[in-house]
Amino acid sequence: MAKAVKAARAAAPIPAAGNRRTEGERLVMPMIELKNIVKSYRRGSEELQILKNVSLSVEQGDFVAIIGPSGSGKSTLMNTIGLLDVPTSGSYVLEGVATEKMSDNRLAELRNTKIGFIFQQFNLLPKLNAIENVELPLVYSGVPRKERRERALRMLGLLGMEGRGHHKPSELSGGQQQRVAIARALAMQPSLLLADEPTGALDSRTGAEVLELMIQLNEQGNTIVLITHDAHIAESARRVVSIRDGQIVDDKRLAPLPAEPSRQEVAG
Amino acid sequence: MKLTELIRMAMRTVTGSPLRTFLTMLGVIIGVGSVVTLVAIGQGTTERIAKQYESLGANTIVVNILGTGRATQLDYAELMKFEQLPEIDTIAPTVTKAGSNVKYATEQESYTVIGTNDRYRAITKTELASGRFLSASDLEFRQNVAVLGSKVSEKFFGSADPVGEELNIDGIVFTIIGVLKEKGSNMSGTSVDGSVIVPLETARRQFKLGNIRTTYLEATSKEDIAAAKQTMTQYLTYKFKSTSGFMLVNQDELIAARTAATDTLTSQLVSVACISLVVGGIGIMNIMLVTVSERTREIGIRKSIGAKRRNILLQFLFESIVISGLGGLIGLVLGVALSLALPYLQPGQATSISVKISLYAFLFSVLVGIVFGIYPANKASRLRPIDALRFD
Ligand SMILES: Nc1ncnc2c1ncn2[C@@H]1O[C@H](COP(=O)(O)OP(=O)(O)OP(=O)(O)O)[C@@H](O)[C@H]1O
Ligand SMILES: [Mg+2]
Repeated sequence: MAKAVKAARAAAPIPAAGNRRTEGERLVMPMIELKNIVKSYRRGSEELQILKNVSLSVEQGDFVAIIGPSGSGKSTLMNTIGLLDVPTSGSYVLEGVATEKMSDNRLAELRNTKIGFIFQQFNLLPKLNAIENVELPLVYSGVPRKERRERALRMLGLLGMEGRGHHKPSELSGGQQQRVAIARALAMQPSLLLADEPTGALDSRTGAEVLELMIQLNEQGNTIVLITHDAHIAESARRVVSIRDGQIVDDKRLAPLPAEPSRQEVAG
Repeated sequence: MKLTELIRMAMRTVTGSPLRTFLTMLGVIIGVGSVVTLVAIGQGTTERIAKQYESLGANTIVVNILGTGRATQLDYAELMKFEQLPEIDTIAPTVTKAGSNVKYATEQESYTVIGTNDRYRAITKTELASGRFLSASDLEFRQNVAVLGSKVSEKFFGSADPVGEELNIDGIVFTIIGVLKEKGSNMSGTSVDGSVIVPLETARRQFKLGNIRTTYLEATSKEDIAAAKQTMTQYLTYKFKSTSGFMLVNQDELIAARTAATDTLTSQLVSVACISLVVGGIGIMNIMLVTVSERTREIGIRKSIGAKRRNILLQFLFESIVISGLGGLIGLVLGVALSLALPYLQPGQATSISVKISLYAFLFSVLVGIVFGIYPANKASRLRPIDALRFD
């Protein structure tokens, strides 16, 4: 995508949290709606605020890059969005469902079905091979063994990992491991892909490949939130949110939301 | 998640580090193995005792004279007069000499000599293989005749019939008049098979055996046992001027007493084995706790992709159950193998495997896995995903 074009698509204003925005004839609700999120830790007598009143909405089909200095609270925000961590206060609505008072079981279900996590350190289980790693979310959602295997193989194939299914993570390169991790994140066809510095542990060439993959996934309709340190990577996103000291200090739109909000399935 | 899924997953992890798994299950293996073996020994012993005494009639009373010397000497003729009483059918007093040197041609061997009367064979329900048993006239005329136990006959004559041959016992020549069929051990533990039976008076004189020590007494019927015992008790108390110099027992009593002693010993040993099972369980719990903290990151990853608390709990619980259950199974196999091998390793030791107890021991090992696995598994399931992910 040419930079000139991106610049021309000037940053669109972010809709206020909770507002429903019409696009064409359709009523679209944000996929993620964070309102006044505070996350603080108690260290001795003093209270350490990591997220200070963060409000953020993400639309379906968007590709949001979160940038900011180390320790600014990016991962903390991401973990909140991914339902791995609960905020100290504030509200979080995911696809129209309030998550604050949800039971552990329900949260686990949402992590399983709605969210695909991609980590900097891949976080594959070292004793399982690629297929078994990709199968894991399907195991927890109760997909039968045979179907699971087929879907995992298909996922790995789509990510150019055919023939590597029986390799353990330790027998794969960093880029390949991240592809397996992405396949795992996509296995349940989640509404939302969260990637915390997915290229951080990769060299620049494989990093670029993974980024290309993310762009492709977004073009196929996946909503993506990605954390990065790399300004170049952030430029590939449709929208860039800057965090400093636990607060959103900048929010730029580089490219508009895709016209068609309906999501294509990666693996039909 | 399905049960097969959980078991498959647990089996993989558990077999992934075989040495560690083996060491963890060792306590359970030893526990179950020893329960199975000890019970097999106990039951085998009980069964053997029962069989031994069964070979005596149900109406047989054994009179054991405990003291030695003049005060507790019985007179054969006087004793035999009791046969005239209605409650007593037959009486067979015995004297024995263990380790007598029996010689035939160039071969010699040490055997027990039993001196008794013509009633002995009927009371002990022993069959003849050939020839005849002692007769009244053999006793009366103190003949140097001998009836051989099956082992003695086999040792010197193989399968040939030795009746009519002459044998040398402690330097005295005896004529063989009969051979007994194989019998197994008798009531006092000595085997008739390894004995040479000669007339009572002959034995007393030739081998300088003093007192009658054991007398077998057949009551007329089951109902007469009590009366017969009472008669003998009165007689012996009068004769010895004491109630402590003799002991009267009948078959039921003997079986009950021996069985009770064996059962007590067995249950004590089994409790010790159960303690080892519990200790094994604590070992499993210890390792499971280590496992949970080692695999905190794995738990975090699993939770981040949708594992529920229940999934994690069951995963670790099944690992613990698979360790203990597999240990129980190995213990079961080893225990059964040992029980089957023991009679060969240690002749004279009978074993009889109790299917019920073996099954219980195995089920108990599974229970141990559940009881000691639940705490670590619960601990694992309670980890918050973010804390577990951050952990290294
Ligand atoms: N469990 C915790 N207890 C106390 N402080 C914490 C905890 N978790 C995170 N923090 C603090 O929160 C701050 C933000 O952490 P976070 O991981 O969100 O930063 P980040 O923006 O992702 O940084 P980086 O770019 O280095 O990954 C850090 O200062 C960190 O020390
Ligand atoms: Mg971070």
